Amino acid sequence: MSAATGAVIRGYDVISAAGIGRREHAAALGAGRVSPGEVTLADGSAVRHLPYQRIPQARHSALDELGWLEFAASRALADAGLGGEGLAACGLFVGSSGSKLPETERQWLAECSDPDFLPIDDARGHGDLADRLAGRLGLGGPRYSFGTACSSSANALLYGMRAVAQGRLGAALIVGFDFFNFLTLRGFESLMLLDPERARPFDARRQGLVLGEGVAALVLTPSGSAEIAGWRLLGGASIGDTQNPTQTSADEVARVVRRALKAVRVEPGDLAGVKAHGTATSGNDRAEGIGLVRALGGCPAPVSSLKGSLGHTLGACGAVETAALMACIDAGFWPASEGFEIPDPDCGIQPVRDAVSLQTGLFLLNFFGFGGNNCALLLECRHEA
Amino acid sequence: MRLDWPIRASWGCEWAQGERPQPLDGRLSEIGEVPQRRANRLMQLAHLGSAGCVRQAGSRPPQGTGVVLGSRYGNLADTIRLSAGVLMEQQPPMPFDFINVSTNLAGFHTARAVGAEHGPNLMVAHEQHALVAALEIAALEVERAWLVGVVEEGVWPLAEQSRRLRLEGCAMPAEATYWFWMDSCCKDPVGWLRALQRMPDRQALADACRQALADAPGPVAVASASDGAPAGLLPTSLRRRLTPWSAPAAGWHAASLGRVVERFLAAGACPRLVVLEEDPVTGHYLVLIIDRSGVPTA
Repeated sequence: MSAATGAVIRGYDVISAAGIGRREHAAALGAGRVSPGEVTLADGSAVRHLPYQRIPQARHSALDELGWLEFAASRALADAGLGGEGLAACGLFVGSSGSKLPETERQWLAECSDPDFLPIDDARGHGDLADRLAGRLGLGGPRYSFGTACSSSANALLYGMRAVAQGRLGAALIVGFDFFNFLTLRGFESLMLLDPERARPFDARRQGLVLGEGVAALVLTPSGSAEIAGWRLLGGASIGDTQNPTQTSADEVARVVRRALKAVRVEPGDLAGVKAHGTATSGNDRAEGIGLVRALGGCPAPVSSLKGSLGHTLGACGAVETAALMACIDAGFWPASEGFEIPDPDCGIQPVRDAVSLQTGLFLLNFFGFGGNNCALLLECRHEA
Repeated sequence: MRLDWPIRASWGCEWAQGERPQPLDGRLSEIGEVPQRRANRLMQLAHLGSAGCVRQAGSRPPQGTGVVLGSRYGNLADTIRLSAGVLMEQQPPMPFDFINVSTNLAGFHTARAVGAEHGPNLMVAHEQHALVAALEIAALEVERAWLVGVVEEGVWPLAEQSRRLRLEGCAMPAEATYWFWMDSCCKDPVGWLRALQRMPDRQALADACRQALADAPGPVAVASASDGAPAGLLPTSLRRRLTPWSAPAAGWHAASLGRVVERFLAAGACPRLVVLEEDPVTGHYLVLIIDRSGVPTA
């Protein structure tokens, strides 16, 4: 087990296509029954339907994007028992790829016929959602909005952990989010990275990703020596790959994984599971699989990608997949890698097809984003001796 | 937080937006840089500022140097342009346009251009204080060398951008790129980031300023990058001991804190600058203490 202390994950909550909250995630991921969703796109008179894993908006239809953030964050803070002085000392680390795009697109479509219409009439910029969320929650600490594409909230977790572990903050609230917007969907379509049916990470038949929405919030507090049981974010590594903005290499995957293990002073054999980034795109899955084999000397621990279930929640996936994985382990199992059936020998790894009984251990979580943003985190769950 | 963090080099520039975008290739060539292919304006601005900073240092960043880019608006011009195509014409963006619309791609191109390899590459947004946010994140790995920058690009048409920024009267939108090479191993820095503190109330703000005066190597200047500077909240006796200082501005942009710090390091008359800012969300006060090398201390 690890020597590093990192930060305690005191509370968490998650919202995605798998449901609202930890229990619904554990139930859906355990049973392998996250319902496939879709969005409708109009191209002139033609209408198309594309797979898209949306959050269950209908259950809280009054909530806008900020409302969902507040909903998840409030539940995580309550789970952590953080209030009063705790909130005053709590910093906010937000990670998102689309940020305010859904809001600005709605405004655009509603007001564009107005002669005075001004596109993206927003003087406050990308930090605005974090400011408003902190104001609603009464957080007294500093606010940071990470925009590193699909590793945004993974980096928010890593640097939030460092701020807490170094004693710079009494607590850190990490919030990852991304919601449907047309620009992102059209963009990934333009890149020809979308699978027309479903995401099949690491499967020989994979054709690309399915996008998804998600929000997750995690509360980090300092590691006390007396705190043996529970979840800790031990550390990790974040490395920029300057070779290719959209396609990292096996060498770079191996580099970030090795550096994360070294930072936390653990060996590959200590790992109880690996949550792969696993987007289901041809090149990225191949690079990640080979990179994992190189860094770990094979991959004996169970490997899963959650994107076959939750879709790719982009900048939210660092927080969403971390929280969803924790919900599964808390329920006593390692989740299956939905969509994986036929191994691809080029990937070098075979994710698990069925859930595996598992309650504790040390876990590696990979997150990679456009712009060469590669991040690997190490998470540990210990139970009372 | 007390840092005593050496600043190996700093560089930056800004200019008022004209009616049309001013090509940046010439500015890049002036500092010996070759413009990158398929680079949008934010990337070019980040390239210009970071390369200028590295040039000031006279050496290349070591392996593992991190890059953290702060910005309020990021890649606003391309976001507007691509959104117009998608929303009004149901046109998908061109692949490279879509990839480049991620603000962090400016960090990717920066790292590639200046040879900052195998370190973190982060983009942090903040409404008021993107430079502070970027410095605080970098300071979590103070043992690593970092290129910390703030960049704000222009958006055209000019009149629309003035409306978007709520600029009144003759205030002109400006573009800016300011970069700082933070390096704890540097023995001959242009200055030091001595402290970056968040103070909960006026009393604590005053105490921080007293401390900055007490251990200063000489006269202390005071500045703010925003309107409503908290220096006015200090007791008169304390205020009299601080020399007001400001950096000339080409226009309005959200990277003004970068301008204040960079200009002080280049041309400040006092050996120490205290920058005071207010956080409008929490009501707390920010205090940056910057020392400049090579200034007579008498």
